[in-house]
Amino acid sequence: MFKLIKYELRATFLTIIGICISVIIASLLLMTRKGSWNTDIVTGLSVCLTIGAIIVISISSLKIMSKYLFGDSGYLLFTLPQSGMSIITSRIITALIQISIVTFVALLMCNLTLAGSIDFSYLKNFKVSELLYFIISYIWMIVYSLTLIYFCMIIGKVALKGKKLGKIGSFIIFIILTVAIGWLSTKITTLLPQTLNLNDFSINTQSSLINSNFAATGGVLNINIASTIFDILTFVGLFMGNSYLIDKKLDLS
Amino acid sequence: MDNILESKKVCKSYLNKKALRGVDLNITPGKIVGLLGPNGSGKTTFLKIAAGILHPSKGEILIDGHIPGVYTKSVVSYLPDNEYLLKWMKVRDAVMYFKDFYADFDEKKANELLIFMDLDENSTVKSLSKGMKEKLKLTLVLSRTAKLYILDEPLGGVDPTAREKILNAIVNNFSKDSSMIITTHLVNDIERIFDDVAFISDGEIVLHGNAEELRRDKKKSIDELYREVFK
Repeated sequence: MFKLIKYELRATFLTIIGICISVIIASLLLMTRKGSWNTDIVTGLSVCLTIGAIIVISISSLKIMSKYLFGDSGYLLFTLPQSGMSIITSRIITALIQISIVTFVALLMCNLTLAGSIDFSYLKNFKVSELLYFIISYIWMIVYSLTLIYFCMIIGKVALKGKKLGKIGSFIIFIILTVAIGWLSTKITTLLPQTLNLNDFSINTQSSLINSNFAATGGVLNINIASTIFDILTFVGLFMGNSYLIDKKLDLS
Repeated sequence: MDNILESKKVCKSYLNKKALRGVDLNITPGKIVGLLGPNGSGKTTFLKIAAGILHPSKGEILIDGHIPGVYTKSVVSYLPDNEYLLKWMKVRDAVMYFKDFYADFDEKKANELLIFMDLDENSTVKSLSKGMKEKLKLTLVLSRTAKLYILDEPLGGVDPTAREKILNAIVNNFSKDSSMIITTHLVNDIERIFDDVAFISDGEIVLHGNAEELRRDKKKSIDELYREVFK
């Protein structure tokens, strides 16, 4: 699996470098405009640049999976003596690394553009547990989203064999699945509003956190217990589904 | 002798088309089998099922006694008829890729084959001509000590001189402990290396036998027989 990650990263090395260099150059250009342009415009453009870079690298990593499923390069990947689980895990880890590198550089440059220097002193205001919570939440959000999107792509390919039909089908499946999971999650949160306070591990039974499976307010970290369990189970189901479909159902055209 | 490939009534259907209609085919170790048929006869579909990248709709295929999966992919060396190598790769990257993933990959043999095929290991895959790409793919596939080699149109798009070179590479690197299944349209060029041949038409095996016996019984070359069967 780690060999797969190594080759995946080599394949996208230039894309990552290209996006990072573009972000750095664009940020430097924005810095030169700081005196002459309105501060709000510079701030807005810097935030747009950061979001844009993250979107570009995310789409780029999804396109790699699409090429494996619908293009000739799938013949190289899917004839390797690797299990579906190994393939999907390596794809998720590679995408996480790619997105994290670009996110880190983009946030760094945004910070530099807005503050005029790279300043992490504000991190001192957070507890270690809070930082850890945010890092885990960030990793979870990316891993969960990728697993869901890959599942839609693979099931689209399995169910609708054609390239064009498969891609459109994957998108429709993604929308339906996202709405269904979101609706179920909301229902579960409403029916079972109990939350776990991660600061002291106490359970709060009040339904103050409307339709949200986690919240961080006033230094208090709360997660909705039922919704979190539902998310974990959904993730496990999607992940196992991906592995099964690759091993047993995926036909390359 | 145990079959290295055993296909029992293998069918493959798409929405409105039957690509394979119950293919029965066994391949014993040490044999080079030619799977011959016109376009759309089901040759590539059958090979893809054996390689583990298509799943049969009905029937069963066993490679070394196993259903296609992780194990069979480790003992099958498959040459597809498309350009599946990654564009960013140099020739040496492709060699290292195979070395990293296949325990049976012989790097020394790969280097010898690269020289034999006149391939520069510093060339990028995307800069290679079609014939050179075919030679590189064949180098990678033949550098493995696999139990079953599956070659789908190994001579496709290759000039006659290179064809001879590729055929020599196939024959010289074939071990008697292995088996090989080859599809081709260029029957005349390649028939000399076949031990057995199977003619496939419309998803069914219509003639199967020892190449030499068929030549003797029918008093025709395999190429002539192919033209007669598929006229």
